[in-house]
Amino acid sequence: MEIGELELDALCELANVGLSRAATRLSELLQDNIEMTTPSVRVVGYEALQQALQLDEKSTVAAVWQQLTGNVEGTSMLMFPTEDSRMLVQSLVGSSMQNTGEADLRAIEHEAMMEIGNIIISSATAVMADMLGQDIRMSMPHYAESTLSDLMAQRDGEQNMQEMQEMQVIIMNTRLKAMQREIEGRMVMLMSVTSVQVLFARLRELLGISIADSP
Amino acid sequence: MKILIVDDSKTSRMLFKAYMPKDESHQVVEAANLPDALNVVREIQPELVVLDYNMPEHNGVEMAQAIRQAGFNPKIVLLTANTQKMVVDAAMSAGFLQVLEKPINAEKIAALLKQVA
Repeated sequence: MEIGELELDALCELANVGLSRAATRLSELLQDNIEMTTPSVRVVGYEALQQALQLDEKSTVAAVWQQLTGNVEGTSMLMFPTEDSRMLVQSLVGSSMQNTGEADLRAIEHEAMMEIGNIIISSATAVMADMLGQDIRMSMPHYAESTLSDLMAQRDGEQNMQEMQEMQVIIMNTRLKAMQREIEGRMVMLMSVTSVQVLFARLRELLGISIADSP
Repeated sequence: MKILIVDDSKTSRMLFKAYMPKDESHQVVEAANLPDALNVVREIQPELVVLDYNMPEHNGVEMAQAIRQAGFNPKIVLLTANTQKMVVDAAMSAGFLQVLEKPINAEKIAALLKQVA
């Protein structure tokens, strides 16, 4: 898929706004300052996802994801290294977990990660939907700790392989680092070719208006 | 009013200009980085400078400090979606007039212009 310089710039700004909002929500949740790198954006084929994320085949990540439906269809996924996700949950609900058994602890961690992910993903996705003037509906959050390929298999569920092969992946990558806790996360959006085209058409429309109105 | 918008994103600068009221009394000039911003400030001496926060070389607060150190004292507004306390506090300490939350729209710009006028 051909992407022009201005389209890529528009996508970067969309990511910047969405991920900045996510950083703000994370800061409120953790009551900590969140350092955020300037987001980078890449559009790659589905097969190149693992390589693009620079993840080892056997690396385990903790991920929360929500399916997006409406004019833009795909998945927003928030990923943390497994150990960082534990620290994140500990930071939020640590004091209430002191006398909790291992099984309950896992359930609490699972629940807390879904809630954290939901808040961050929703805030980022909602602001992007507003910017684009598009309705984007979000599913309930899902959570898993696994390798990227296992996560993708879970996410893909019953989608057929042809759809998967045609999937374009928009990687909006930023590091959100809680300054007192050394927690780092990243966010990824996956979209079908059709949805990426819808997104770019809308971006072109927005920029067209801007160009026409520029002095 | 002479307004400088500084953002590394061309899209953001274009959107800001697109949402400005169609009023010939306003002149909007853009810059993508600190050196360009300082050149524009020296050249046109804007009354209002709108700065993005999250930029590659210098963030918006650092840019505001550089503009003041260069001897200019425009009203400065931060334009960002990163409205966490750390950022807002830094902006207020640096003498920003206000923090405007992205995404920008015509209503936010109209309210800003009314406040600055």
